[in-house]
Amino acid sequence: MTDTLAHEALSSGSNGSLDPVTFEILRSRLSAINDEAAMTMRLVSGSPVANEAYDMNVGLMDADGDCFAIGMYITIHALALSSTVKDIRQRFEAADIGPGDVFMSNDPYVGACHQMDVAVVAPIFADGRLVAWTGSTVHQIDLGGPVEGQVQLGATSIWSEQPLFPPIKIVDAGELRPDVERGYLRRTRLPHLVGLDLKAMIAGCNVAMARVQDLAGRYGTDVVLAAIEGVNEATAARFRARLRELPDGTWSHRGYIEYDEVYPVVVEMTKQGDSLIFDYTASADQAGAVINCTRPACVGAVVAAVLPYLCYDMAWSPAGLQRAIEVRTREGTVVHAAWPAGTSKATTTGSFMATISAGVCLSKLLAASESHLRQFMSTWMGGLYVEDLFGTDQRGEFFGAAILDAMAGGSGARAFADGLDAGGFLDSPSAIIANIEDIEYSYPVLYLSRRIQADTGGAGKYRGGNTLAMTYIVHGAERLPVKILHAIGTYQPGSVGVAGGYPSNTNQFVIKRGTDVRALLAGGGVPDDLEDLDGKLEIFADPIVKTSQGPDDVHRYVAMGGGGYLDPLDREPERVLADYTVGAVSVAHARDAYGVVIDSDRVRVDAAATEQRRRDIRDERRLSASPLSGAGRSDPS
Amino acid sequence: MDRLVAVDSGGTFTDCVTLDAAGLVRSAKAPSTPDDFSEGVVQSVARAAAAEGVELEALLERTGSFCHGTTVATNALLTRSGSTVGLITTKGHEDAIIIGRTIQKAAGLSESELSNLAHLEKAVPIVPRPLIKGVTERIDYRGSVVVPLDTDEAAGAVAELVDAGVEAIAVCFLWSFLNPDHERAVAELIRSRHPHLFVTVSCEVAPVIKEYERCATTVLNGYLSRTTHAYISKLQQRLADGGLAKDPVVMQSIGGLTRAETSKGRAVTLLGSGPTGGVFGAAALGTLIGAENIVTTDVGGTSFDVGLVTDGEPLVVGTPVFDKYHTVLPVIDVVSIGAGGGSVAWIEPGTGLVKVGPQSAGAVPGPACYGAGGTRPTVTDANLLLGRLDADYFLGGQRRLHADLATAAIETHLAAPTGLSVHEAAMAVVDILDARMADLVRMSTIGRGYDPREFALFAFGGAGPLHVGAYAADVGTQRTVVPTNSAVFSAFGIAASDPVAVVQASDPMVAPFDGDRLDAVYAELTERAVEELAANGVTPADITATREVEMRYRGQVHEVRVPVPDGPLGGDSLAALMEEFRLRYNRRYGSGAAADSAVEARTFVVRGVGRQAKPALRPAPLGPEDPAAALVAERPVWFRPLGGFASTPIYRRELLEPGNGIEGQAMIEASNTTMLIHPGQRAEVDAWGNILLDTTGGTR
Repeated sequence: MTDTLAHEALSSGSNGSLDPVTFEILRSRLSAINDEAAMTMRLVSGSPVANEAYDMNVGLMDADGDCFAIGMYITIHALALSSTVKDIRQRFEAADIGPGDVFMSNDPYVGACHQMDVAVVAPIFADGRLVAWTGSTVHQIDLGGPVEGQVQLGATSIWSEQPLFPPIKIVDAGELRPDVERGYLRRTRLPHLVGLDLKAMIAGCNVAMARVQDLAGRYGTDVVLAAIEGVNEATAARFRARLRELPDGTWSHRGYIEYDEVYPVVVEMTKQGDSLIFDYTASADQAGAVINCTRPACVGAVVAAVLPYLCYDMAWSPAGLQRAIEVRTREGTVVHAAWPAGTSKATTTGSFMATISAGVCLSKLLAASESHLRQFMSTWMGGLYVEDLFGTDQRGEFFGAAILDAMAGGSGARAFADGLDAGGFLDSPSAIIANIEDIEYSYPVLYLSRRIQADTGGAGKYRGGNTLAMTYIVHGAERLPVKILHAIGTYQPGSVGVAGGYPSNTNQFVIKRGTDVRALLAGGGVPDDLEDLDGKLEIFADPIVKTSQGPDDVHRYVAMGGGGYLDPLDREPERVLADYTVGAVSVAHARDAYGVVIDSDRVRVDAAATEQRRRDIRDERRLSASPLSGAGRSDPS
Repeated sequence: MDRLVAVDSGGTFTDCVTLDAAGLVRSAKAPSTPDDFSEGVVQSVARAAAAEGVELEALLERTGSFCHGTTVATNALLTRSGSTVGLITTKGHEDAIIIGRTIQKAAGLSESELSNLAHLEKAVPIVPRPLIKGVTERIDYRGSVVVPLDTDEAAGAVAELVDAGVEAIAVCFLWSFLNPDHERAVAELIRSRHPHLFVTVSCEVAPVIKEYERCATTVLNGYLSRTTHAYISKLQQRLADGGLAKDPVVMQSIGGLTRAETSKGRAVTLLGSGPTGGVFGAAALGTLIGAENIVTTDVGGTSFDVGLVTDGEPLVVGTPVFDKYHTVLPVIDVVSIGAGGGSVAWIEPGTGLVKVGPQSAGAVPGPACYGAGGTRPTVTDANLLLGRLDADYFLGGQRRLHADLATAAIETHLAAPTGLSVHEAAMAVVDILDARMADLVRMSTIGRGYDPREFALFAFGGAGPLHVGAYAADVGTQRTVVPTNSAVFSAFGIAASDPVAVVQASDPMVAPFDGDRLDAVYAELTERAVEELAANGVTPADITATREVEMRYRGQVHEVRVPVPDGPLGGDSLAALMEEFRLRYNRRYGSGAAADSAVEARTFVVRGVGRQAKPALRPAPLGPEDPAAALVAERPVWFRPLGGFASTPIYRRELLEPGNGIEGQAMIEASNTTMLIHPGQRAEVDAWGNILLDTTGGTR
């Protein structure tokens, strides 16, 4: 398109705004630029974190730092990048922000979701004017601190967690600052991986920078600026229209974070006309360290829930949404940490539960809407289990790894179908779990099993998706000296049911110590489960455990399924039987949760016994019901 | 026996291209016949014969090589009409194919599909859970047996599957690519007791590290076996009855041909072979005209397919997705979006923005202007309104287009709601589609680590030449080529192909590598490739075997294919291999990307090609630069830079001569496609009849 055309494009709309065609082209082009930056970053990084777990993201922000385009990866990062840019705008003299500069930060009080999610952001200049910012972030496996990996066990404040660095210039007018890079890499146990990811994030920013500049050169800087503002306005308009289609009301949820004690995350969501308010002020006071998240992470957590629940048919532009969303928090809580509270595990605790809780409210909102019921989802895997391993591999080399099989959680039940078995993780729909052969080739372990675990999805007329269970032993090395196992949802299920649906299972991890597994294998057998083995079962009561695994120990964990929808007593008995035949539901669970009696010998439903059993369950429910005391509104949790 | 016949079965049309000894190319089209695809194949050949003025039998009797691209395997998968297949796998790991690494729900989806989380679904299973049996056995990462195979248990599992009525059994154990003994033992057991059953084992189909993908590939091979076998047999019979003396050869998804008879046991290698012909055609044509690096773009009614040729070789992807299943089958890498002539334009509620696709009006009812009941505006309607299609000469006049219906659709659904004029609205639809196509070209090159501006862009398929002037200019590719025979280019690509045998196996190792171990691996793979080609009737002297290895840095996921030099591997050649890996890795992923890590070699590949003598395409002498002889009309065509309709010369493709040069704005019409040359652009017909488009001077 020529300059004249660009000029026409600008003037053809009313009041100098863009014509809808040029706008649509630029909107999709800006989103494609952001995708290119993400791809570039993944290609350069090459790490499983960026390429399989997709624990990363890339965003484009306007000159003020509002994020108008975010990749389809972990969306909570949108706010991290945005807050980091706003901090830089505030703290740096305008003259110190120039073309070719790139900044980095891992400070959660500035914006990073937790210290491990390093944010790299860069201003984009065209015609000497600041037109936009680009930013990228990748979760790092180790950035120093007393304990390997992210979870700083024993920390009492942020001072005993990973070293912090507020925004600092890593690239100055196109020149990498080797002193800053060296200082950064000095902190980590894995300088090579961390260094590569830094390069990757800078490469992602460089691509976005060059491409936005091309766009400004071709269409004119004013046109691009108008398109960026247009994206925010169009998204806000589209999102407000979506809100008007939905019923008004207030919904609330109370989720829990287990740590040294149980910390409730309480949210009350009010949808009124075309505005949406999330009020977290009743959440628990903060812990000393580890589990809290800062306010930017909490706002990002809300956006991360709103996008998949309400924005299923529109471009994902967080700043546009934010114009219609208000997030209320109270400083000094687990979801709005006050300095110097620690945050090292925030993304699987504070902000994770903020997303889950907002999601539960949104699912109830959709359940109350006839026109949008088909978009309803009960909770997806409401607590992520992660296992960090450090030790010496089968080739005698030091290694650090995160086992993320638990990302294959169950997805939430829908209003027309069950959730997906091993369906995944709401925040990262493209996430991939590793092949066992790749894990075994790289690390000294041997998987005895990795299966879909029956009965882990919440029961319901539509049930939640089941998740995985896996068992492994050490293989090729003497032992695994450092295993850090951490999760929430170990005391109570994070995936709740909706409208009579049941919750999922809880996250469970155990080690059976000193078993006879080696003798069994040598004798030509493979244990079906831990029950087939002699040994001492160690059930971990704490949600965070640092332990080790010896040659005769068998590790087992069960991840978390999805929540159910509607009363399981209303599920057609034949569908329960079908679940039984594929191993998704056991005979006992069919009887207890669904009231369906299965004749396992003849693989059929015992219709008379089922009818009786369902009557009995309903009777039990009536008997156990007792009137509420007081006139107050019931707490839906 | 001097004739070469190539037939490409597509969803809508079956295209036939014939080559005679003098290098003369003829083509014909017939409707595809999904109930029995062999009918459409024979029809297309009959039409090609008729075009020469001979009977079908006369053509087939003179045919020395009958090459065929079929979508029968792809269709059997998409419609889930395959065999009842059972799976025997390692105990404890029965669910791997259902877990699908959890990506299964999202595999192959576009971003807009992906953002609709409540409607994601996993694959419709090709093997139901009750037909998956775990058997006690275990091999480890070194290939050592940790737990021996329990043969009694295996026999019991087989008996249960047979009782359940399976037509095929797939066997996939962990680490079988390092130690195939357990899989082979189970296969032997099945074959000895149930000789009628189709048995397929992962160590033969896809001996590659990655158990989910290997398992899915093997089960797919079992699932597709019956349908493919039946189709190939029927086609062989019909062609033999018609006088064809030799067994036909079929196009594989990795490219290259293999005997129809061989393909019966390897149905999975035909999966997704549809777009392959076009990419190979581009590579072959590129060699002829000196284009080594090519982006291929195929624009049809519903999809826009992009492939890449680098250094003269089509780009291969190692883990393609087929209807949500990731596999480990090297295939030609083609990326597709739902964008084409049939894409529907609509207004987004809430914002009033014009959107195009991904929904398509399909063949029925088709665009509004077809007059077949469609009322929603499509890209084809927009092109018609802008004068870019001739209502009376669409598909050579076979289908009359109704401009009034197109106008009504655009007026009602686009112009009225936006306040744009009908022509501005139509132009908006085309602009938006062109921009999306440019985005996909950019994404599919940059996403694979290449800069599209360093590539030549080839455009073919029914609608490619109409849009290429816009998206090529947008991307900024160096050269733009609309090949001769662009509307039947896939069939042309099949005709240009040679017999190929690709054999691969994983044997992961960490550098420094053991040359003797590598020599042994390659010796075995080469032997298998040569054997297979010999079975195709290729004489050893015509075989070239090239070797590749997939390497990566330890702890990284990106694998890079590196060519392996001929001859025994050791000191110098291994050092050169490592250097080549670093070079390629840096070129693709950025300099110094991962240089400090240990290097792994994982999967070894041998590609055997049986060079066949083919009639050479001959350049014609260049004629006059003036194209006046081909000028058939002038028509108003709408161009934004010209402020609306401008009188535009129309040239007839068949009348153009090599050497003709055409200044935009102009249009070139053929019976099956239309090419648009924008103002300021220039087209030139080369000696082979290709149209070279220079987009650098254009304004759009």
